[in-house]
Parts: sequence; structure tokens; C-alpha cells
Amino acid sequence: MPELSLPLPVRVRMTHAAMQFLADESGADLLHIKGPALDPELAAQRPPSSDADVLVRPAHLRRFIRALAGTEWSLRTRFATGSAFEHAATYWSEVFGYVDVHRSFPGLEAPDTFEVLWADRHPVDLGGYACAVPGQTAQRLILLVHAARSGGSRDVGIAWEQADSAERARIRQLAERLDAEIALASALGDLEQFREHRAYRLWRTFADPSSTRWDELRGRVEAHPHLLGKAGILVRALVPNFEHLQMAAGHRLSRRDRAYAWQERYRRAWRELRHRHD
Amino acid sequence: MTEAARRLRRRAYADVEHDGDRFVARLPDGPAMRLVGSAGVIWDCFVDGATADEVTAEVAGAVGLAPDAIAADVTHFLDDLVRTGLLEVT
Repeated sequence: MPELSLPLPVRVRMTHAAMQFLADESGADLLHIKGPALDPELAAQRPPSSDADVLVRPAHLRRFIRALAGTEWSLRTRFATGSAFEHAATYWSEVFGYVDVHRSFPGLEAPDTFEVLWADRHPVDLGGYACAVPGQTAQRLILLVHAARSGGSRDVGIAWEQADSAERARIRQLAERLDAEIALASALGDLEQFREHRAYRLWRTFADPSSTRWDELRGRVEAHPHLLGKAGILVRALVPNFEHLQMAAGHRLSRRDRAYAWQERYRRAWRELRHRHD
Repeated sequence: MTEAARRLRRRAYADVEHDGDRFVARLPDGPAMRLVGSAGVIWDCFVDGATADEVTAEVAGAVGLAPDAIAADVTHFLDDLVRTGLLEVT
């Protein structure tokens, strides 16, 4: 992989500008989230981002992806394989680095999430482009649900513990509006109040470091509201994530690499199953 | 049309300052460059539709030098910008 010569903060800001350029060209509504898109009060306490994150209006996703496809940005992981939630695709530029293009944000489950966030947006200059970012309460909620999934006590401190009671009330209200209460509860250590929720086990796997892939798989299956979706999760779980392996390896996988990945997939599954029953 | 007479314009670009350095990049996928010294002045003095002579006159006025003294450098840098795709011939 060629070495990028731009400083990281420059690359990330330019990535936001590049994504906004493509959004403007394609007529797509785009929200810029996290990293330099955060309000300065929230950003100042966080380390610099290593990539850019954008959230596309679901109805505009196809046109935006088509615009991306016509550039030097290359697809690294697809929506279906990028994460357990299938929420984002990752693109790479030799000049700018990585961007995560989100079609949804795990934890914000209301179907009109984008519209709600869009309604309270304001512009921020990133790389010379006016980029729409969510309101500060939404920014805090996004940090919190992300912390619930990826582990981030610092973000809980920034987004919640440092918020006054009025802002916390606004965060809770927005979480209710965006069907994000279980994710918020998980971030705040209150997950047990959602024991009966179908997504309880899934959010519990993120909170529990001892959770295995089986736990996560079972959580994802239980969380999905539809039978076909549950079946799809099980089927995809049988296949190694070659895209991630390729990214980690830094080179295209050979036939032997893929064969090994298959073997390792089932060896690991067997080990975890045995461990659960020991 | 001679190169001196060609009119130039900016293509879409990002512009970021960081730790005292200035960087510009063609959008949506590069390349990027760091604007060092007079490069930043030339970039800022440039207006769409200008010729190299017009940019030289603008820069000369901004830095207080005779146009003849800087013409070669300005033209050379504009050529770089055209080569990297940050400027294009109209």
C-alpha cells in the first residue's frame, strides 16, 4: 500500500470535502459525522480521527455510490460484509485514505433517522466545503451509541458525563425518537432494563469483553425483526469475511489463503463451541 | 494559442491549513500538494479566467516586486497546477 504523504488531519478534512463534492454533483443529501465534523467542544477532547465518516440519505445512496464508483476511490469493504450491522461500506483513496460511507448508524433504529438528523443540521467548513453536520445533541447521541458498540468510556465522558441535566434530557428524548434507547442504555451501563428487548443479547455482546462470535451471531439473529433476515445472517456467518482478511493482509488473497480462511473459520467456531460446553 | 495567452480556471479543490502549512487537493480524488512560500500567494492571487501574465501582475502587486522578476516562477507554478489538474485551460 503506497504511503500517504499528507498529514492525517489534512487527509481526513479533505476526504470530507471530497465526499461533499460528490454529494453536490450527484444531488445526494449527506451528513458528516464524528471526527472533524464534531462541534469543537466535543472534538477537542478526542484524538484525531484516522478516517472520515459520512451518512447518506438512504433514498440517495445509489446515486452517491454511483458517483463514487466513477472516481479513483476504491471499494474496500461492502455494506454486506463491513460489519455485523451491514451499515457501512469502506472506500480507500491513495491520496486521502479511508472513508466510511454509512447507510445507517447502528443503534439509531428509527426508519426516519436520517430525516430527523437532517432537520437539525448546520453547515461546517471542511476543506473549503460547506458540510452538513447533525445538531450537537445528535452528535452526542451518535458518540454514545458508537461507544456502546465499540467500547469508549472517553466518549461516554465527553458526550454524557460532561453534559448538564438539560442536555441529558435532550439526548434521552432524541434516543426515544430515534429508537436508540437500548443503545444509549448500553453506553450508560443500564442495559439490564432492556432484558426483554430483542436486541438485548446483541448489545450485551458489545458490552461484555468475554463475548464470543457465537454470542454475537446469536445476538444478531435475535435482534433482526424478520425471519428472512435472520436466515440471511446465519448463511453469511458461514462464509469467511475475505474482504476484511484481504485488508488486514494488505494483498489479494491467494487460493491457499482462502482455503486456510475457510478451515480457520470452522476450526475457530468449533473451539468456541467446545469452550462454551466445557 | 501560446501558453502565455491561455486562460485558466480552477477545478474543484479542497483547501486545508494545518500546523502553519497549507494544502490543496483536486477533488474528488487528488492529487494534493503543499503550498510552500510564494505558491500560496500565487494560488490566492489566481482568479478564474486569468492568463499567466495577469496572474503575474496580480502577484507582483501583492508582493511589491516587478513582474519581470517573478514571471518565470509564476508561469512555472501555473504549469505545475495544470499538470496536476488543479487548474485547467478554459
